[in-house]
Amino acid sequence: MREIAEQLRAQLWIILHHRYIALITAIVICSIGWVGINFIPDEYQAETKVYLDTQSVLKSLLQGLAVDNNTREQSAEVMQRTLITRPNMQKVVLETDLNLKLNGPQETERMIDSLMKNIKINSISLLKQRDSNSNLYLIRYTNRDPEIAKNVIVVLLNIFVESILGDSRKDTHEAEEFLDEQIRDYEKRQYEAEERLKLFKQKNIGAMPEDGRTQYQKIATLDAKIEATNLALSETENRIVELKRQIKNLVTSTYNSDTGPALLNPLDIRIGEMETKLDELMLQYTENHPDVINTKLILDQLEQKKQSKNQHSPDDSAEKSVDNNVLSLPLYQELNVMLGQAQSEAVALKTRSAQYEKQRAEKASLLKTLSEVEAELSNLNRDYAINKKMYEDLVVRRESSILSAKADQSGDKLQFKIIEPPRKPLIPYSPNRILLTTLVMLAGIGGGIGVALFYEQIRPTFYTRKQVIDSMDIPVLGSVSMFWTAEEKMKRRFGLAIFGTIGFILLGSYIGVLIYNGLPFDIRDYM
Amino acid sequence: MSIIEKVIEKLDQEKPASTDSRKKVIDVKSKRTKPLNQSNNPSESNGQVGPLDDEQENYYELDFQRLNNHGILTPDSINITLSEQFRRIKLPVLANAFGENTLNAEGSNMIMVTSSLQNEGKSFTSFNLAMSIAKEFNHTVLYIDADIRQRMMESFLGIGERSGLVDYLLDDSIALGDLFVKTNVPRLTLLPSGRRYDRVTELWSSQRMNQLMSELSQRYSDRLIIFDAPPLLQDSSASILARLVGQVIIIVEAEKTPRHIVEEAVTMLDDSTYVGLILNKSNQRDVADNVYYYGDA
Repeated sequence: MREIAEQLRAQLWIILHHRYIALITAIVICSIGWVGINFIPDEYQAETKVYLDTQSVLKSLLQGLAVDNNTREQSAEVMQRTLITRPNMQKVVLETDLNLKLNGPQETERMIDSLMKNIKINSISLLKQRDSNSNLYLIRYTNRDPEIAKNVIVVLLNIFVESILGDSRKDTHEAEEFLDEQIRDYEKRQYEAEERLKLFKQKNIGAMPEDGRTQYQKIATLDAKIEATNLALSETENRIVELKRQIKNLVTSTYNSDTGPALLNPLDIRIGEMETKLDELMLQYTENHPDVINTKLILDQLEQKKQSKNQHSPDDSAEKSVDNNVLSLPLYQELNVMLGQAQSEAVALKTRSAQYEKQRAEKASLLKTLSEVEAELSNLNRDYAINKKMYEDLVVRRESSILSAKADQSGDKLQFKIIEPPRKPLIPYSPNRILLTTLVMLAGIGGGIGVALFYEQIRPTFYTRKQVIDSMDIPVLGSVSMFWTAEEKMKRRFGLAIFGTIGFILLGSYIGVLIYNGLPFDIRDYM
Repeated sequence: MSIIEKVIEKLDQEKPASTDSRKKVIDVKSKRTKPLNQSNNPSESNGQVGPLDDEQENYYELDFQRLNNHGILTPDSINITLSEQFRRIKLPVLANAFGENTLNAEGSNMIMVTSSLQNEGKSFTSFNLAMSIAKEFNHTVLYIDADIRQRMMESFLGIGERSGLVDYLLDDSIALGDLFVKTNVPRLTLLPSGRRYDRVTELWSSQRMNQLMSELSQRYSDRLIIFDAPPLLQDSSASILARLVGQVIIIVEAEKTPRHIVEEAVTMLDDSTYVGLILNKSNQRDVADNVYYYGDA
């Protein structure tokens, strides 16, 4: 213990003895140091604080990689490694227009390297305890230009946000774009299909299947109609044959049997009617009554008609008389009317049947082209239907995609939040001139002491008798104390005063330099 | 600047314009000051008998007050520490000179005090040693200023220029006894360096010097002769003188004289020479005291 104390004492004495060397060294070191500090350029640090749900973000950043139970440091490390990448830095350089100041790719590379080195992501904890679940991160960057420092952080934050939120959002965005494009495409195609259908319909207006009935159905209808008509015709013809047979039977029966009711001549019937009428009129009126005259005139005419008729056909008079007898029969007349009706009906049916046949032939001839038209139409219809279905599907999917993206975004808000946005730093972050000034001061003192001790090392002298005994193999007779004469004392005091003064000047310079370098000092605080 | 230099300056100012040295020597010779109280000194009868002393008329009264102020031990000195330190130093010196372990029969009572460089305190130490030994009951001291160039005695003690050693060596007609200067310290006799002379080294090497040395050494066996020599590294005469004396004491200035300088100074001496070191101007008084009190040195 005493040895150590003695050693310390000896060292201290050495320093005191070489105090002027120490002081000069300190002054030199401090002067150079303090002047040098002024030449260190200011550096500004921009920073931002963000909240991140670390686990989920890391999962999204490191898909497929196992990231479970990270400590905060590890999380920050992973964040740093994944975000501060060369491509990202290139983006930063481009977006902050840093590349405008750089000449050539080499400088850009160096700039990127410096960015990668100087951008720091640290995990910070609001609570003092070192919990691994703290989700606060501090992103910092230092540059000589405060504006650049801030811009770098802003751009970095954007990249950060994009890379965290962007993965899903970019996907949905791309999907949306794809869907939109598809929808537009299908819209167009649908419109075109509609157009084509319309034109086709206009072109084949006659050959269109109406109300779901095809041309075949039409022909079938026509066939049925033709059949029905033919059926009706054959019925009518049968009736005509029957009627004709009845008439013939009637005529023959009249010839063969006299007992049959006599057939009256129509003229005779009229004459009889006229005579009856004349008699009636004669009862009421005179012979000179116009009606009677007229009736007599008609009767005469009828008589004459009968006379002339009998004269014109004297050969057939018998038969004619028979015919006239048959013809005058009401049944015969009835049958004749029915026959006429049936005959006209048959003609009508024949005409209709022919018409139907003609129509059917037309349809049949159309049938070939019609099938083609129909095939094309169904084709068109199918295209249209598919388009329509796809279009509707796409619209639905787009809607659901937008919805899910919104859901994602609302989820993202929970996992990422900028707590402190980057701002332009006004006070330089480094160098810490006050600290450096103090360090220089300490270095000066330390250097002075060091130089004093070093000087003693290279040029050792004796301080104690013991040192002389130890280092010289010559007998030591003794030691004599320094005798301070009055003058020596004065001189010594003067020397100490000078030393003290210079020392105080150095100390004052130190304080002065501190204040110059921005130590908040207000003289009023001390008054 | 050492004490001695300061004293010189002071003395230079006090001293009147220098006059012819010869004349001064005569003046000194003729000067009669108050006689010493020699009868009280027990060793007087031994020490002062002999042809050399017959014509001894020189006397110089030392100014004790002034010497005290400059740290010189005087009979009325109250500096206990300093006197104690010199007491400790003189014991081995005397032992070497007169004790049972006497280094060598010839010249062991002649001590040369030197240093590596100047201003290390040769004169201060040597004169204090002389004063300290002069307190001894059985020993007288002859203090010789052998530093021709610096001539400490003249300035330091204020004696002024007197005939001395150089004059005796150069001039056969001068009796050595005429050159001794008695002082008001009973057992202390001084021998000034004498006239200024350039070839000191050659002078010291001379036959006459050898004769003188053996005579000085042998004539008074109880007398210790102390030479105040020039620095070893700055004056070759010191090395020559060292061969003629029994002991060499090298003054080392504490905190100032580098170790290698001391070592170099030692190489200037013959291997056979007995050398002792004295650390002068030490500030580590406490350590020295500890050493003293606990006796572990």
